[in-house]
Amino acid sequence: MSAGKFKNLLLAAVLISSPYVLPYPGLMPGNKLYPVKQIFDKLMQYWAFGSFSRYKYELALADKKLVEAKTLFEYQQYPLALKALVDSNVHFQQASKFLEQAKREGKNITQKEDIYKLAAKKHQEVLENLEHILPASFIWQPEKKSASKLELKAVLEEAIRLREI
Amino acid sequence: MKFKLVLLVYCLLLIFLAIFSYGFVDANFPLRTSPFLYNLVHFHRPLTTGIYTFFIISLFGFYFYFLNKAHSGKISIHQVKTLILFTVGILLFSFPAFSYDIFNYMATAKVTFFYKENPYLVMPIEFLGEPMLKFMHAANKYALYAPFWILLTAIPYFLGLGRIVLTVFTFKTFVACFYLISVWLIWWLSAGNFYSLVFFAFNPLVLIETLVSGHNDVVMMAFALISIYLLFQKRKLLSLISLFASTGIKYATIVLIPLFIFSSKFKKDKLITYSVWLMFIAFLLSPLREEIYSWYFIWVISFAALLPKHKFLFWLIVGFSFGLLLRYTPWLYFRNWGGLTPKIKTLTTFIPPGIALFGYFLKLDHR
Repeated sequence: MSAGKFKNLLLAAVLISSPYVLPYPGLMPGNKLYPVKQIFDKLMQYWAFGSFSRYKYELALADKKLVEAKTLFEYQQYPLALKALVDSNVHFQQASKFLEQAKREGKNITQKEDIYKLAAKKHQEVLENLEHILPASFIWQPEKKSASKLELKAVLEEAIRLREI
Repeated sequence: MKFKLVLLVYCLLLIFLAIFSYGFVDANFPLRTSPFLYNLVHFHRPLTTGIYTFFIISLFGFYFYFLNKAHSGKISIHQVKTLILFTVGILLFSFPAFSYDIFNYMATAKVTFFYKENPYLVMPIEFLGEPMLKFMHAANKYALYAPFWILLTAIPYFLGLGRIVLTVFTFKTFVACFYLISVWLIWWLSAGNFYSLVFFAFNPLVLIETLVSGHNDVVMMAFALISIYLLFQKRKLLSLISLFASTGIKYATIVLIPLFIFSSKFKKDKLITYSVWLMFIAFLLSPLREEIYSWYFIWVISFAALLPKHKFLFWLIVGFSFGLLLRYTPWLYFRNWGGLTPKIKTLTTFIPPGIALFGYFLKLDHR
């Protein structure tokens, strides 16, 4: 590949990818302090009163859970990854609900809506990348339980669909 | 007769100061100011700096005069009350010229009580189209103050009926009420000492930062003084609750909590002395968070007023009060927080107390 072509590709990648920055995952499932983090996250829900506050809280959790899911997928911890992805989906949809509530309350949501769109795009990028590296399905065999088939592709596609705005 | 003349000149000074403050009204603030004042403040900066310095020196002149009268017992309680009443009555109508903090209080209250959002998670700047954004500074900050203050601001906020100009004055009145409460508490705690009363009530820094700028430090200190009052009444639990309320306004009085818990080990005078020095340390440590702001010194003055015989403290307070008020001069002159301003601010903060203390020690040597 010529240097010029590489430059163009790089530029295109930069232009196409969303400038939205996802957070560091922090404590992951399996860590002893992870339940404490979950309790803290739950309590923060009550601290985040108000539609804007709650929108920010839900979007932050959607981001965190997505990064968590991505990391777990990469380490082939598929059941935990799927759970994190489902949580991310729920929080992402909740964020939208609170944005709607803010609009009904007469607040100008233009900026927040833009951020939400950028977040959706970034989430989709991450999910599409995962779609490329993950198998369509996976037979999960826990040590003392019967095996189950995990439909990874279907779950990822559903997550991408949820983020289409 | 002489008192009436002094009162007249003093009131005229305060009236001119109040008028001068309107030169600082922001061009986007929903209140039209006189073009003469606006031009003076914005385009004749050396003159503005000179006028401001004149006001400060004059206020200190009156401060020393009142202190001297109180020291020699030549002032009556009726006269002090009259002076306080006129001071509050006039300065209440001044514009918060030298600080934008009062607008932050208002904006935080609006985020909480109008938009019904958590001000620790949502900044005023996030409300596009909010009229206050046109003139307020630091709109891109989350709530800086402790929750009890935000709760208290519901009172002036709702009394402001959603009108910006009216809300400025309801906030100022609210703060002025706590100034009066502090004055009364100092009077009571000092067992009716005129010197203590005058020391706090007419300190130019207290007047400018509380009655002109409307800073909430006096509210925090009023609760700290209530706490001392309750402690001396042997109501320790209530005293601690009041101290927590004080901490719930601006955190700074948190340094007093251990002292108050073990208060039974100290005599009254020692307790107040330690409180003064602890608040002084908190004041000196304030650059760790941001920078030394002049109004932080109210933390020290409020307690120091209860130690009228402490000459070292007196000169320290006078020196710092003067120096801290001079911190505004480089900004008035340059209209810029960068460049030479920070260096000059540091010099004006520490040189006057240095000179005052040098004079104090020189006097000690001569004795």
